[in-house]
Amino acid sequence: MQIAISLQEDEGLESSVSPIFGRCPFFMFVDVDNGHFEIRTNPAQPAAGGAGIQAAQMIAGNHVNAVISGKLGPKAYDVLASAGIAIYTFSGGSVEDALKAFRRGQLPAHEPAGSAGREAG
Amino acid sequence: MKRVLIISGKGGTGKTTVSAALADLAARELKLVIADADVDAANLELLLEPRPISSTPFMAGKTAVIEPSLCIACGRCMEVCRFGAVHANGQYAIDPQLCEGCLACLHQCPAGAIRTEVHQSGEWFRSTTPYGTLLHANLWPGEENSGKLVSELVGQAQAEGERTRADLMLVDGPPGIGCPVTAACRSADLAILVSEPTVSGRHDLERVLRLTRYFNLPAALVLNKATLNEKARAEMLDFAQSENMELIGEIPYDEGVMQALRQAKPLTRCASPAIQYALEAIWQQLKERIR
Amino acid sequence: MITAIASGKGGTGKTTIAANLALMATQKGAAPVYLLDCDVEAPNGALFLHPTFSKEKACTRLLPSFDAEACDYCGQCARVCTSNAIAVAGGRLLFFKELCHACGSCALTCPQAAIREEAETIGRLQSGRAENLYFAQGTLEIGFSSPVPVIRDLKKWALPADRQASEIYLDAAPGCTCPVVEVLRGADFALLVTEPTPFGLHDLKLVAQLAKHEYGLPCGVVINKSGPYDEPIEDYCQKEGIPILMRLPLSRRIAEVYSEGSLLIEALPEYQALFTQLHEKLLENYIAQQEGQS
Repeated sequence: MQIAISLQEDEGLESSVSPIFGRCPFFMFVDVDNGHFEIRTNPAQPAAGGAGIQAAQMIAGNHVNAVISGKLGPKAYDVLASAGIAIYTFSGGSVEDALKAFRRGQLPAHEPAGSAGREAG
Repeated sequence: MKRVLIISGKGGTGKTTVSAALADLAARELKLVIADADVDAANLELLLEPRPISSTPFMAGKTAVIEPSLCIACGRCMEVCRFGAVHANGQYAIDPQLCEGCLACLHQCPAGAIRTEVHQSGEWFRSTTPYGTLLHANLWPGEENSGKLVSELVGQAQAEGERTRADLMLVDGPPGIGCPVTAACRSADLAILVSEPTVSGRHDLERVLRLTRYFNLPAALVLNKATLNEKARAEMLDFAQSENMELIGEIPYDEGVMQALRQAKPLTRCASPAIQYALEAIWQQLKERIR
Repeated sequence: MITAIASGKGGTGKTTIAANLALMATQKGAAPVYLLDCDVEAPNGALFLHPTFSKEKACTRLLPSFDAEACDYCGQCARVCTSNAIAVAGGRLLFFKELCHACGSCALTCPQAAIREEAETIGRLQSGRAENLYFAQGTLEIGFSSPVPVIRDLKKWALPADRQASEIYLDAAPGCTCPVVEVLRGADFALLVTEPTPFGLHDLKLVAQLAKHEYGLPCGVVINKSGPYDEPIEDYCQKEGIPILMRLPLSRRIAEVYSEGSLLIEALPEYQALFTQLHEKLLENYIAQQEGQS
């Protein structure tokens, strides 16, 4: 199972989970089953607007099953939900802590936001 | 960490002076991180005595540039540009002031003659103040205020707050109802609307309140210059009640405030006792609300 | 002659000055007088002038509309959209209207020609009269991103064909970014309204830098809430060679009149002289500048 996690810095498993999604500096892509992970710069960070949307699309294009982050804006939420990606919230700790909590089923699901995008296609 | 955003719709209602006063009072009891998201003529720094720790250039979005050596002068860019940014005085060129960075021309150019460029449109700072870390910015005059810089600042403030385990993030928000305000609304748990008992104040309060509803952001009212007009004041309070908007507090009209502000400190340190008392009452009410 | 009325800081009294000045001008001159309220996020001029609006126009932009049948979810439109207003994920397409800047790039790009464009209202333009004053305003719809297209359309729609034969006042939004630039562009003079506080001076410098140095406009300053603390502003204006054209005193009575939504020159006629003098000085400055150019 593949998970994407928003990071505040690039320090491997000790990186702090970023409370913001669209403009966080890095994302970690981790295979929860075998523990392999990869950290990438977030291409959406410099976007003038809609950074969350862009980040969500990028993640959806990477065969991710779930996202762990802070609070998402309604638009980013819609994009991930549209792609069938589960969203969990976690704050105030490292990736290591977040993954432990995730494996124990302790992470709360992100509340659905009021729908922001019109499905158009 | 609770995130409180202070906005007004209308400029000049006292948003920044209230923000500075609340920062002063909050910092006496809680760990605070502060952001001045009013980046078009930023004023909070004039009251909080910031000392910059770091400064980061702020790059606006991209603009399109035509490479003359590759241009075949077909005029397609001018056809597709909706913003009148392409002109042809001898050769085709793009006015960076008018270019919105949509890059439609770049994608439509048959000769691949268009590239992108970023330019610096301001800078943002992380500073220490006697009240907590302050994130603030200078957006250079004439630049576009898309909300991107606001998003950056508020995001940095939130990250700083989480990192240092702050109790409260206080954001002095932008005026109006456009992109900069919406960018700020996204990262808030509570909006304090600062208004005044005037016809203009009431008009703009209604618009900014609608905006907070659009974001499902709880809103509460601070009525500044409250004693200026009794009839208008009563109407504002009725309005707040009919909208289920809590009245957090009122500040009396006081011409001495203008002189007090010249001391370049939060009003809690230099205004008349009546003003200070009113501000303290507001803080107590706010503290209850964010508990 | 086109006078832009701007201020770095909000709440200094731009609209008060604009409304009273424009109304005063209709009583003084022979030329038709126009006031355009270009603060489209929060237009307030009408609250004081109570114009009767006789014409209205929707301000529209072409926004994309997606044909579900023809779309194959290739995602090309999302890739070219620099505003991130389109997302294609999980075999669905989401369109975020408020982020769209109406550039048309997606429709041009779609390999299936599955994107049509339809006019969508992003704002409202209204024009009419308040006594002898021609008044127009633009209002931005809540949720939409940029006020600039509404301001641009307002100017095109409401300004007379012969601009030099009229006296035109443009009440700009506060600040010094794009919406203000849009108002300064094409103006002949910038009247900058400030107040004697650290904020007023700080922000006056920013907007003066924009109007005077970047756009080369002759400028004049109005000090609102004027009193014993004007000196820093006076010093700055002297250094920059910007004349102070009017001082409106700090007065509770003036603040009360404002709070009621009344016009100063009607509620407190003793202030009419100040506005008359401001008007005269504006014309003088404009003529001097024109002569300087020829």
